[in-house]
Amino acid sequence: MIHSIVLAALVVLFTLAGPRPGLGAGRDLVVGLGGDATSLNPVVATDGISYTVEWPLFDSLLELDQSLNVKPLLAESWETSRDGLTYTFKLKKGVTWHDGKPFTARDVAFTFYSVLDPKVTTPHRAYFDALAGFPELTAKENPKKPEELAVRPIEVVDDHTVRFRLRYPSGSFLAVLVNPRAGIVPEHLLKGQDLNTAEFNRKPVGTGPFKFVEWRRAERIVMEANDKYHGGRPALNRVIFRIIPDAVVLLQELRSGGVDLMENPPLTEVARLKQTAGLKVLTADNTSYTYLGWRQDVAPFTDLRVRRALNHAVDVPSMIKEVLQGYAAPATGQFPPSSWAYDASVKPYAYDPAKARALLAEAGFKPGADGILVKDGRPFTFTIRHDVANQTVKDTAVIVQEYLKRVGVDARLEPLDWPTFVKKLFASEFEGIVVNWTNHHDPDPFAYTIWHSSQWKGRNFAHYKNARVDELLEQARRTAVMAERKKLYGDFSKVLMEDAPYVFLYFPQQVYVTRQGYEGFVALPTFGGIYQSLKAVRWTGK
Amino acid sequence: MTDLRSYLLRRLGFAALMLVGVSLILFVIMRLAPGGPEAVLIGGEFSAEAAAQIRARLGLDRPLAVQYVTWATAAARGDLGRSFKTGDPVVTLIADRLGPTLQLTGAALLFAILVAVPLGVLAAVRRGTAWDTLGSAFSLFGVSFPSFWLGIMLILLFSEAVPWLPPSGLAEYGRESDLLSRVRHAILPTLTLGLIQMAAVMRFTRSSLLEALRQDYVRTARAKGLADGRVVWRHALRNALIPVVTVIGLSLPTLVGGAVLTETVFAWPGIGRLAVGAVFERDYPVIMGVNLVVAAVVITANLLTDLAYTVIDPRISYQ
Amino acid sequence: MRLLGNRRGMIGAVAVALMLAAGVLAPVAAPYSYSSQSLTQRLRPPGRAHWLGTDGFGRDVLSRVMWGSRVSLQIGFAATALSLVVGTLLGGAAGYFGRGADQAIMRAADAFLSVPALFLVLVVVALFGASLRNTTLVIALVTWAPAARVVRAECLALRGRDFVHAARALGAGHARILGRHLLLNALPVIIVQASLMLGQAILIESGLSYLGLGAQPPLPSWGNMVVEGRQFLASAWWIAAFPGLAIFVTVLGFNLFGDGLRDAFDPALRGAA
Repeated sequence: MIHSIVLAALVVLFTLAGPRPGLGAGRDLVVGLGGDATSLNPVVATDGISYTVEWPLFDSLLELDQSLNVKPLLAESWETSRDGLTYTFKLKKGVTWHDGKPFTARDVAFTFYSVLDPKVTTPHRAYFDALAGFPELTAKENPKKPEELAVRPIEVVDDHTVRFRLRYPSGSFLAVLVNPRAGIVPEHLLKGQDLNTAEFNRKPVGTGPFKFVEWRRAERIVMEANDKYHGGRPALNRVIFRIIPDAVVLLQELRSGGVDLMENPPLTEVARLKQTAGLKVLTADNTSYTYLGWRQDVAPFTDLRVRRALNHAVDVPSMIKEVLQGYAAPATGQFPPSSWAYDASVKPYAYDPAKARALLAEAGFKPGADGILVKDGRPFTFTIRHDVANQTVKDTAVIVQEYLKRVGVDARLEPLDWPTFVKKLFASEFEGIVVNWTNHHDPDPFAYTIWHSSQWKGRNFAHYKNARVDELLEQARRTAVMAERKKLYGDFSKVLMEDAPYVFLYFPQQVYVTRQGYEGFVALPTFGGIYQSLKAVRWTGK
Repeated sequence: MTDLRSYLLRRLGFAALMLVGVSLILFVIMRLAPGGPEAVLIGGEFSAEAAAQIRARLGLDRPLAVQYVTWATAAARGDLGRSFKTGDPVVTLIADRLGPTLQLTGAALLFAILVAVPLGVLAAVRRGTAWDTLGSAFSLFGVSFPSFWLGIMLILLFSEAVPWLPPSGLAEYGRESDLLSRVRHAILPTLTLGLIQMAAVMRFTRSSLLEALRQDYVRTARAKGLADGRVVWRHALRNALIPVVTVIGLSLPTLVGGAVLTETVFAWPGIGRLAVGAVFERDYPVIMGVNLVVAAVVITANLLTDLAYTVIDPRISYQ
Repeated sequence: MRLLGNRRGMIGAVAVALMLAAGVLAPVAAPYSYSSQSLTQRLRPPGRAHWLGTDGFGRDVLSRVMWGSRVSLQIGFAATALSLVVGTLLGGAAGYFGRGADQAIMRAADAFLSVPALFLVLVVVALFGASLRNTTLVIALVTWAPAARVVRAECLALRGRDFVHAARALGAGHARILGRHLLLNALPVIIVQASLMLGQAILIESGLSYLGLGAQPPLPSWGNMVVEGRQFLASAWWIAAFPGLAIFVTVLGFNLFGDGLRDAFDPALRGAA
């Protein structure tokens, strides 16, 4: 009788005290996510959380270093032809998939042909625009099959050699071959299947440092170390992604030990977190930027003076300092300061409300009875649409509204939920918007699709049109010479700033909080960059 | 008994009709609204062609009537389709989440009843005294806070001040079948939800017991000299149960549909969160499926509740 | 009247009156505008210039709580009024007439009840926008059915009573019996229901704010203030605490007031000790 009581008490004590379970050597890492992933297939998944979770599961041909230059991963080495149109990659030998089958060049070819296949729904396709035969393979009517082409864009030379052929020299080609948008998927598991709906998307198999274990919807995604990883078994035992929608609760979990890594805590808490024993804060630049935008082809935004006035009206440095606690860089255009395409000589408009008012007066606006500017009997009022779920964007919109009010512009906020917002955005149904836009670490993909006048049906939903910008972007896309690209993008940034199509606000930094004792995190200055380093993270307990 | 049988048949017939009606209305409302699942599926790298492709694949380009009929005929067979977001069968998604939800809301209701009914009885019997006030104050406390507020307060209290209750989740990884782990994780959410349910139960118990105590037959029983205790327990309480059953019936949609806010705060993988997520993501099959299941359960329960009335109060009849 | 002697009811009444006054007087009595920001005055604790402190944008918390009273109470009263009118009429008719009317009305109520409240609210608001009007309408849509059910149950129990038979024997018509006798006797139940609903409406709005769909910034509602302030709980507790307190006091006030009213109306208490 006593025995059972003592035993029961011990069991109770033990479970109440609850040390975290870990099998064998090494330790687990619990990562907190604010939402669930959609699909774990790198070819079709395109939302941020899916990227995050896929990263440790799949390898790409190349990966990034701290300066965002490419370095080998699955591709050991590569050669470029003199004319820049052929890339030959030598793949690492002895790499196996999580199910034990060998990784070969056929998998690489299969992966990228799938990306090009019009039947597969993936926006990643646009990144491979430079490949030979791209227009024919991706045509809406009667697309060709790779076998039907005279020049094959992707060629399996032998088991460990794969060759890509381009139709124009492209400086961004290597840059798009990295995670999270270019993970390699296994041909032997996906051939003949519909990648959009395959069971594989829920039970992925990759060559990455971690193997998929389970996905309990809305609860967690678990993966464990890949013993046979070509780069050596990771030090961590398991990575467990826990889904905790409430940001305040997530922070509490971090504090009480339920979570070891979280991203983007409320910025006002970061100072306190830095001083909390047992927690560490990591920051890194990011490529995504937040801006106040509007329809370029709708009055009064067609007037350059108005656009410049709005730029002068917002105190960005103050916003960054007070609201973002300094965890952001002021934006002067499409490229963040950490990008090689960034031109430091391009300066933002100074905060100068007097100048703003002067410019607006010049443009024909006069203050009305309630302080709102009026022109031709019409008050300067417009709606700003934004995503209701993004707290930082919401806060930014509220602040922007206030600054605009101070110079006599009446901006009404209209938060919309994401599906509605995106639909209206891409249908160009808006007057003003505040958006935080993702970006690629290479300048071309987004610069082109956002600012080129041919993209009005795509990401250029603001309907921007500038012949000089078009020219610069086209040239930059078609050259592989770094120095040339840099100069072209520099000019592009200058023209854009002069033209003031948006009020570029800031590039928010990535802020991660992790438990003291984990070493090896490297926060790359690109979206989700920290997840590339999970394979090198280890627990030292210090 | 044929009375009862025909009543039941009629009710079941109505129930089926109602399920169709409810699902049809929901279907129409959702389709009328702007935006669709494609925006969520594609995320930040939206493109119009990808959107069109997705709509075609999900069958959203067919005429509305066709879409509804397809869904309805499949649902009648028990096939609720697949989630737009993840492709999982809706039936599986619901089945997986039903357990945690029922656990949470069942425990909360139990807690509420166990605490609030005695409190209500006490308050009624000792009406006007300090017990009455205290009892009311305690039960009203829980219902005067938004649940997400109460939840976070409890979490902060118990994780910072007294750190042995986990802030969120169902159980630790690897410990799902460990009862103690489950219980530890369930305590805070149950408390949050239970405190909120308490007030309604307590108030109705008190007021209906007061009502019953005033009835003529109670006064008669008292006048006859029956001990107070017996009077209360035997005669009054039975009648007092009616509103309590009503309240439980009223809580049913929450019970089965999940306590959305509490589930979100505590990252509880229940039906409420599933439903909310589906609304935000325009995951039509999940929305329709959850709605159907919850409606079916609630309609059944209402039927049972109404039958319970006949048992408890013989004066209520079903001509 | 009896109510004045009822301590609980009076406390509730005072609490509610206070909040109502704050809302009504906000345009004239609030020290600052609810939206004027001052990025250098952010997160100031309660002090001389700002009695309840400032929030993340430097806005005065006291002013926002007062203005929030307008928004929250507006939604609460409008939704409850609408809901009660519909619910009482339908529930009373169902309980009194029975049979066909009862079936029809109760089936309709069941339909509304079988969808979880927040879910229905969410569907409509997420899809059609979070305007004050939509929020009010949808809260009413979701709360009329419980009210109807409660009233019906009460009427069902009451209609077999002696005074109803007596009235009918005296030749009273349906409307008179329903209105004068049944509903009047059901009044305590209805009032208790109303007090619960008022509080509930305010809580539903705050729940919507938590999910991002309540009153939208910069318009303050207690709900969205609490939500905005949650992230500052550790560093600037006043931002969430005061609107939270306002919600608590108001909802509690309505509940206490309702209890007090019920006791005051109780016919058996008239003349009794």
